[in-house]
Amino acid sequence: MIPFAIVAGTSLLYFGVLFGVAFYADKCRKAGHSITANAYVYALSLNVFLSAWTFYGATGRMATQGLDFLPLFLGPSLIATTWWLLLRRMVRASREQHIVSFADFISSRYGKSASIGALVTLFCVIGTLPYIAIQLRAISTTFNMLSIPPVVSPQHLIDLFNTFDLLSVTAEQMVKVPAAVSPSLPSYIDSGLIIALLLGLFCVLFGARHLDASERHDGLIAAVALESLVKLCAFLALGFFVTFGLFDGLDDLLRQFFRHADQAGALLSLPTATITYTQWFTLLIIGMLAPLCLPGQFHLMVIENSREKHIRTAMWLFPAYMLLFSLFIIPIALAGLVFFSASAVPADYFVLRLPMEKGPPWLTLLIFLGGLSAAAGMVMVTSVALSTMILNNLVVPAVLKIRSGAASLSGMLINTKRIAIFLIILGGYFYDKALSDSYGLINIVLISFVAAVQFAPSLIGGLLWEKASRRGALTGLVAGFLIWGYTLLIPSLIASGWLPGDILGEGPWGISWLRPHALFGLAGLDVWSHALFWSLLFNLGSFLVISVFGRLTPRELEQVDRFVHALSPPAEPAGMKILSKAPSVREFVELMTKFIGEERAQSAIGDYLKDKGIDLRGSLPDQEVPALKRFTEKTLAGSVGAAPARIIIENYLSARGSKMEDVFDIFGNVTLSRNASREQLSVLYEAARMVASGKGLQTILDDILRLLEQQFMLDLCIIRIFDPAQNALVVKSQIGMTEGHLLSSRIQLHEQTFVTESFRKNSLVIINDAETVTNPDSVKIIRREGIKSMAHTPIVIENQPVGVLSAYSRTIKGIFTEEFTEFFTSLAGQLGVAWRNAQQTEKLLEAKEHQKEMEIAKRIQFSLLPAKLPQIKGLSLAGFCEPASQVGGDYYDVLINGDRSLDILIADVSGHNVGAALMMAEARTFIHAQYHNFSGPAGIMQALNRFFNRDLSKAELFITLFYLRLDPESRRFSYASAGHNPPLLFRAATGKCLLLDAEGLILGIKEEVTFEEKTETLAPGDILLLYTDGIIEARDDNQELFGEARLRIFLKNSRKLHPTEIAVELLNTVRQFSGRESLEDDVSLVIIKVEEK
Amino acid sequence: MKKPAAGTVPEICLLLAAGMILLNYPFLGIFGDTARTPGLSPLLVFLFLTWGLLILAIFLFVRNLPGEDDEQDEAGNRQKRRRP
Repeated sequence: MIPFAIVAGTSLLYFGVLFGVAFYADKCRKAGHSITANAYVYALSLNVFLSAWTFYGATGRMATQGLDFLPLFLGPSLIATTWWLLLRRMVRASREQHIVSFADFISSRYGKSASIGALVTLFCVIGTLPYIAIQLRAISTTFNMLSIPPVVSPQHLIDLFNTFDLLSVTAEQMVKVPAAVSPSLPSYIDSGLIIALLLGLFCVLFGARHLDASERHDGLIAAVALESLVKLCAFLALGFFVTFGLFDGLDDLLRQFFRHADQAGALLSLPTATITYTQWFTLLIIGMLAPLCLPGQFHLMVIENSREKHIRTAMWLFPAYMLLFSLFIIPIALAGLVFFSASAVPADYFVLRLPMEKGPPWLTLLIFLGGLSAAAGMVMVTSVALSTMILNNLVVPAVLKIRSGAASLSGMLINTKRIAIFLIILGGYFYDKALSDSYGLINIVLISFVAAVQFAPSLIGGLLWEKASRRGALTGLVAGFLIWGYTLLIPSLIASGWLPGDILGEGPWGISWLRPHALFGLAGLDVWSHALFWSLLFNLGSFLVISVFGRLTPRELEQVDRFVHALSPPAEPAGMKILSKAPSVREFVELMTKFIGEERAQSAIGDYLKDKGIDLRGSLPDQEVPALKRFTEKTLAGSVGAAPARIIIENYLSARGSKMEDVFDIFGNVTLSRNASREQLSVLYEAARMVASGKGLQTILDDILRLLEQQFMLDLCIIRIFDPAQNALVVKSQIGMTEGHLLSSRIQLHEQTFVTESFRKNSLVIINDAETVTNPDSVKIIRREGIKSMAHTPIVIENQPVGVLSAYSRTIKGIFTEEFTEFFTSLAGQLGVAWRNAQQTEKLLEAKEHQKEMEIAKRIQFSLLPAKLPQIKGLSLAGFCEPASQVGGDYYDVLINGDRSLDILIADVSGHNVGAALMMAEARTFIHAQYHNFSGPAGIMQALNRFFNRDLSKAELFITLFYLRLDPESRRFSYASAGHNPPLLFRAATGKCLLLDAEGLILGIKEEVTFEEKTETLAPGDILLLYTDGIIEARDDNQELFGEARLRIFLKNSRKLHPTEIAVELLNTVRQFSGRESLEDDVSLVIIKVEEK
Repeated sequence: MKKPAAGTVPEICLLLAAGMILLNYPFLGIFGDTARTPGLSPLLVFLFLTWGLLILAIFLFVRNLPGEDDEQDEAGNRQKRRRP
C-alpha cells in the first residue's frame, strides 16, 4: 500500500495534467491550429472503448472463466472492417444533417421524430448507467485498495516519512506501518464520490462550456487520447514486468501455472463447461455491435470526427491497439492465479494486486493511473454525450411548452446541460452503491452492452434499408428494451437484493415460462445468449415486420436518401410532390413570444412583414415561409443564442408532428417542385434579368449582391475581380463589410486565403464551420469579423476565372448545403456574363473613340495638302497622296515665292496616327510662315530642323524631307534633302534618269545639321519625280521590292504622258506589282514636267 | 459525391465473413483440447495470429482505397472542382 497522500496527490496531479492538456488543446483550436484534427489522435480516442472492464475486468474474467473475454476484443476488430461503409455513412449523414448526438441521429433518420429521440435518450441513460457505475466502482475500489489511510497527527506523518524511503519502499517495509496510524478513512469521505465530482467538473469545463452542441470538444478529445496512451503503456509495463520480471518468460509462466492451478487447461481451452460456442458467438456479436451503439462511443466516432479520411487509419489502428492491449491479459491472469489462488483477492484486481505485492511502488502507481485513465475516459465521454441528448431531446421540448418571460434562455439551457452531466455521473455512482459486489465488472458491462445492441437494428437498418420506418424502429426499440430489462436488468437487481429471488427460480407469479433466464421455456443457453436472442428476436422481428408492411411518411422518405444514400448523390424524386401546410404568421409570433415577449415578437415580425408587404393577420404565402422561419431563428438567436434558436425552431417544427409535413432547411426548401427550390430559381431569374437590363456594371453587381443578401439572410457578400496590374483580387461590390475588413479587402494572388484558393484552383470552397480553419491569416479575419461560415466560388468567363463571389454568415454554421452551392455557382456564372458584357461594351466604346480620332487625323492630314496646284507657264504639275491606313505621314506642297519662284517639297513622317498628322501640320505651318525668309532650300531645312528638333525627339518621331526651289523662267532649281529618298530627273535629251541626291540628316536627330544644296536646270521634256518610299518599297508576293530601277524604267516609258497620267499610271503599276489594291505604306508623288516646245 | 468505389463492398464483406468464420466454431473446434497441456496453446496462437492477419488485411485494404475528391471534413467543408 502507498500512503493516501501520495495516491491522492498523484491522482490530483494526473487530473491536473489532463486539465492542462485539455486546456491547451482548446486554446490551440481557438488559435486556429487544432492538435486533435489528426488521424492518430482520432483512432486513439476511440480506444476509450477499453475502459475499466478491459483494464481490470478482462483479467478477472480470464482468471475465473477463461477465454470468453476475447470475443469482446475480437468483435470490435471485426466490425472495424465495415467502417469505410457504415461509419463513413454515419459521419457524412451526421455532418449534413447537423446531428449532434446518437439520439439525434436515430430520430433524424426516422423523419426527425421527437418521440424516437426522447425514447432513445431514455434507453441510453438507463442502459448506460451500469456502464458508468462500474467505472466509478473500479476507481474507488482500486483507490481504497492502494492507499494507506491518512495519519491523525503531524507526528504520525513524520514517523511515516522517517520509516520509509517512500520512493523505493518494498512490500516488507509496507508491512511496518506505524501502529499509531489511523486504520480507516472518516466515513463521510468516499473516494468514489470525490472522483465522480472531479470527473463531473472536467466534463463541464471541457464538454459543456458552450451551448453549441455541434462544436468539437478538442480538450475532451485530447484528454481521452492521452488516457488511451497512458493505460496502454501502464498495462504493457505490467505485462512485461509479470512475464519477464516475475517469471522467465511465457514458457516459465505457463509451466508454473499448470503446476499451481487447478483445472489449468480448462482456462485456456474452448469450449469449456462455462464457455460454449454459443456464448462465444454471442459475445462476438455483442462485441461487434456495442462500439457502434454506445452513445459515448458514437459521439467520438461520429460527432467528434474532423475528417472522413481519419476513418481509414482508425480501421486498422483501433483493432491493433486492442490486440496490443490484450497480449498480456492472459499472462497477468495466470500469474495472479499462481500467486493469489489461495487467497481471497478478487480476480478483477489481479492487475493492481500483482505490482502491489510483487513490484515497485512506481509500477503500482502507474497501474492505478492506467486504471483511472481507462475508467475516467469513458465516464467523461459518456456523460457529455448523454447530457447533450437529455438537453436536446427531453429538456428543450419540455421548455417549449412552458411560457418563460426570461430575456435569455441560453443561460438556463447551458446550466441544464451542466447539471445533467453531474446527475448522470452521480446516477452511476448511486447505481454502483445499489449493485451487489458479487457482480463482476465484465458482467455489469455486458448488461450495458446488450442494452446498446438494442439500437443496432434501427441504426444499421436505418443506414442500409430504405424501407426502415419510424414505427418499426419505435416498436423494435421498445420490445427489445423490455426484453433486455426483463432478462438482464431485473436479474441484476435480484442479485443485489432489490427484488425477490423467487422470480428467477419460479418466474413471476409462479409462471415458469416467464423465468427471466429461461423465457418462454428456452433453457440451456447462457445468460447472455438467452438475453440477446430474445431481445433481438423481438426487436429485429417487429422492426422488420412493421417496416415491411407499413408505409413511410413523406418526411421519412426525404430522410431515407440522406442516410441510406449519404455516400451517393441523391436521386431526383421524379414526379414527387410534397404538399405542405405551412405554419401561419400567428404561430411564428406565438413561438417568438415564448422567448422574447409578445410586444417584441409582434414588433419584429410586423416590421419584417411590412417590408414584404404581407398582412400580419393574413395567411402567409408558402414561398415566404422559409424566409420567415429564418428570420424567426435569427431573431431568437439574438436572445437565446444560435444553437438553442436552431433547436427551438427545429423542435418546434418537428413537434407539430402530423399537423405539418413540411421539410425545411436553412434555405427553406418547401419542396413544391421536382428540382431546385422555387426560391433559388426565382433569384437566378431575377439575376439574369438584371444582367440583361443594360444598366451599368456596378449597378448590376450591387443589385445582385443585394438580392443574394436579402433572399438568403447572409450577413456579408463580396464580389472581387482580378486586377492584373496589381496582381490582386479587388473588391468591386460588397454588402456588410466592416471598415476594418474593407481596408484589408484587397487580396494579393500569392496570399494563402480561401478566396485566392478558389480563384487559383477555379473551384468552389465551402467552409461550413469557420472554427475549423487553421490558416492564421484567415483565422484573424474570421475572428475579427465574427464569421461562422463562408462560401467562395470563382466568377468565370469561358472557364477562366476573373474574380470570386463570396458569401458569409456571422450567425449560423453549416448553411452552405449542396443545393445552395449549385445555386451559388450558377449565380457566379451570371456575374461572369455581366462582367463579359461590360468588357465588350468598353472595347466597343474604345474602338469608336479610336475611329473618331482617326477621322479627325485624316481630316487634318488632307487639309495640309494643297487643294490645287498652281498653273505655271511651260510647266505641268501633278501631286498625289494616298495613305496606307486612315492616317498617313506623307505631305507635299507647292508654294509660290514673291519672286515667282516655286518651292516644291515632299516629306514623310514616321508613324500613322494623330500625333504624326499634327507634327506634319506644325511643319507645314512653319514652312508657310518662313519659306520666303530664306534664300534657298538648305536654309529652310536648317531652320526647320532647329525648330522641330525638340518636339520630334520628345514625340520620338522623325521627318524626311526634300525641298527644291525652282525658277520657272530659267528652269534652274536648287534643292536640299533631309534623308529623303532622292527624286528622279528624267532627261528627255538623253533618255536617262538622274538621281537628285544631296547630303543631309533626317530632321529630328540632331539640333544643328548642315544640309548640302545643289542646283540643276530643267530642259524641255524633262520630268522631275518626287516620291516617298511607299513606291519603291512596295513588295510583291515574293517579297521583292519595286525598287528604284523599275521606277526609272517606268518614268522613261511614261515620258509622253501628262504628269497626272504619270501619277495614275505609276500607282496602278505599283498596285499591280504588289498584287494588292491597298498599299502597305503611304504613297505620295509630285511630278513636274517641262513642256516640250 | 461519388458512389463507393467499385470493389469496396465485396472486399469488406469478404473480410468480415473471413473473420467471422475463422474466429468461430468450427474453426476453433479444430484445436479442441490442445490447451490442456503445459506450453503455448495452439488455440491461442491461432486466435492471435488470425487476429493479427485480420488487422493486416484491413491495413492493406485501407491503403488501396481510392482517394475521395469531394470528401467532407467535420464542418461539411468541401472543395469541388468547377465543372467546365
